[in-house]
Amino acid sequence: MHLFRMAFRNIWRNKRRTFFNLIAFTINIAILIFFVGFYRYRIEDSYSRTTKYLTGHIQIHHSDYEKEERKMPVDLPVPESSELCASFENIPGVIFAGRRIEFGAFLSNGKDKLACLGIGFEPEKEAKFGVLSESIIEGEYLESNDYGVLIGYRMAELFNLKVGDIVLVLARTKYNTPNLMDAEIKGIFNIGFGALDKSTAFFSMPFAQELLQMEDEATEIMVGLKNRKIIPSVLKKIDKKIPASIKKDTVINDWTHYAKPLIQDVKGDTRFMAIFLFILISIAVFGMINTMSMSVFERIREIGTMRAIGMSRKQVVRLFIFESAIVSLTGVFCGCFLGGVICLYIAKVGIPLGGFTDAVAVPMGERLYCLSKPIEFIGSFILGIIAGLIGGLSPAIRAGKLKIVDSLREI
Amino acid sequence: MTYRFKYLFLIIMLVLIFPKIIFSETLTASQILNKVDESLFPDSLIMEMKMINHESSKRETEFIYQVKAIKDVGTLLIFKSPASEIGKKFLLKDRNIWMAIPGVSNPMRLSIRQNFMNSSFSNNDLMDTEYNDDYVPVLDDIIKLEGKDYYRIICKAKNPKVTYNKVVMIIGKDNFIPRRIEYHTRSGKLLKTLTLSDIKQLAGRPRPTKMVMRNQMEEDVYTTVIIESMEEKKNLPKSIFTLDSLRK
Repeated sequence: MHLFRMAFRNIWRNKRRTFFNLIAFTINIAILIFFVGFYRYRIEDSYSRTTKYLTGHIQIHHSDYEKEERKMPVDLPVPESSELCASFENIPGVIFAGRRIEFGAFLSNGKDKLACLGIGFEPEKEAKFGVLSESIIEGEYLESNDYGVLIGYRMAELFNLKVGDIVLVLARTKYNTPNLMDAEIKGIFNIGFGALDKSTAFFSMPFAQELLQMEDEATEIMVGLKNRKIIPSVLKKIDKKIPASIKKDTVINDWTHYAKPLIQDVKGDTRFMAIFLFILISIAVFGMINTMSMSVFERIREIGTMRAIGMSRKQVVRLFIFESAIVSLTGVFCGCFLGGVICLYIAKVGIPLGGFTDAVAVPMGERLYCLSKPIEFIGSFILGIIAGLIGGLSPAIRAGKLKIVDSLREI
Repeated sequence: MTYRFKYLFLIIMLVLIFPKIIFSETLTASQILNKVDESLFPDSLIMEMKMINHESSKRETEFIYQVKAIKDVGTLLIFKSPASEIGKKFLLKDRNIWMAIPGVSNPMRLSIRQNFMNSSFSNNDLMDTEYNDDYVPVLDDIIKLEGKDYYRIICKAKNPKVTYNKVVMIIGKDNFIPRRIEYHTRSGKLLKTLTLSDIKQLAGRPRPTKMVMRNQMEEDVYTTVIIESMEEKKNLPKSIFTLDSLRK
């Protein structure tokens, strides 16, 4: 206790140095907490948007579909897709099981044409799960039998299109012949994902089936779940529901199979984030080493005096460790508080991304928020304390090793 | 006069009064299409063609190539200009299209989905010209355009795998030269229009020398093909229409 009181008094002897050290610790910890929360939100947001807009949680295709997936073949429908969907919807945790057809298409306003991804879907079913229905900024969402199209606001801007305009849709039928149909623009959406907002058009299933000459067929069954945690158990149940007669013609995959680029991006980002956090911790450690080394260097005579009046080497080491522990503990507390305030603010207000979302291949909202959990506060706290102790340990040991005579002789 | 004699008398009178109409209109749509084939190209030929891709209202690209063809054997295109395309060859044979690039040993098989040299013609348009094979032609009407009579023939696809569901051809009644060919998709909508004009004497008979292919999707984007010269060449070797010759 006596040493602790001495340590507490000592750190206020050079207020400016202690202040800057505290600031460094506070900022480092606050940044650490903020970035972990921010990064967690980005991943969660990308994953949830990807599953909502693009992949669903589980997909069922024809077993040969994957080999030609890039070509988006429309001549490989899922067998008995309607019956399968109906049976999947009874599985607990399934929000919807809907049919989709993805196909390459050209959209034209009569003057110019644009290559786009066409998606035939079941609007009423997907409204239960996806946020496409909530992202309509003009016009209205599609109804099941609408012979219209939903386009993104970026596509509408590019083509100078508005709700009510007629566009020509050209696609290859399942017989590989071109087919052209008119479609009225029913709604314009803004999802916040460049690839969708700029070059994806959503059609009702009957329209897509007629355009592609697919009768009552679909190339994909998309299943949306309450959350990602139940994917493995639902996968097993879905597998059991597929009749043996068509099992060899179908393949079931979870969303990660269709979002490989995103998963790779996240892995890359995680590595980058780990390096960034390591640098932050290193700055804190070196800051502490620097401060404590300066403190030892300035107080050599004082250390000699303390040793001469009976303080042991261990006590000197402990004194300096206490000093660094007090500074790092105070800094970590302040950092956790500041980080928490920033996270709370960002979680509420968000950071606007402007046009940045168009440039990335990952679905993102218009704003990025923070998703903080207690674990990063606890983790940052422990890391901060460890960084402070590591930073203070080396100068403290050096102080303990000083000889009394040499120390007293120091000018 | 019995009923049978009355009928015979009527036929004889019609033949005497309107011989031209009666005999010419007895041609079936299929026969007309065969004559169209003859009116466009001789069975074996060498010709020089210019293709201009109008890529926008301001930009266009010009290609010059030589065509060697024997009916039912194959068609070989050899590019002569621009400099970047010199020596490039295309072989159209048995509903396949192959491309050989100078310096590349193996020819590449092209997808029928692709457009030919970024033009308004798809590779399929170049290959799929045997309307009698894939379509059921019906003589729909005889129409008058600018004082001339034209056959309107509607070719309906025999099955859903045929590229266009319906092809409407407006064919000169006197010379069997098509004036316009319209390509309709499965939905019934018009997708492309080929207009043939500038009839000149080529390889022993009048033939259209200018073809313009327009796509309904893009207003300012179309392709013009001009036949600069055509010569009937009966002794063309069949060996030039093989993949081996394309490799050389």
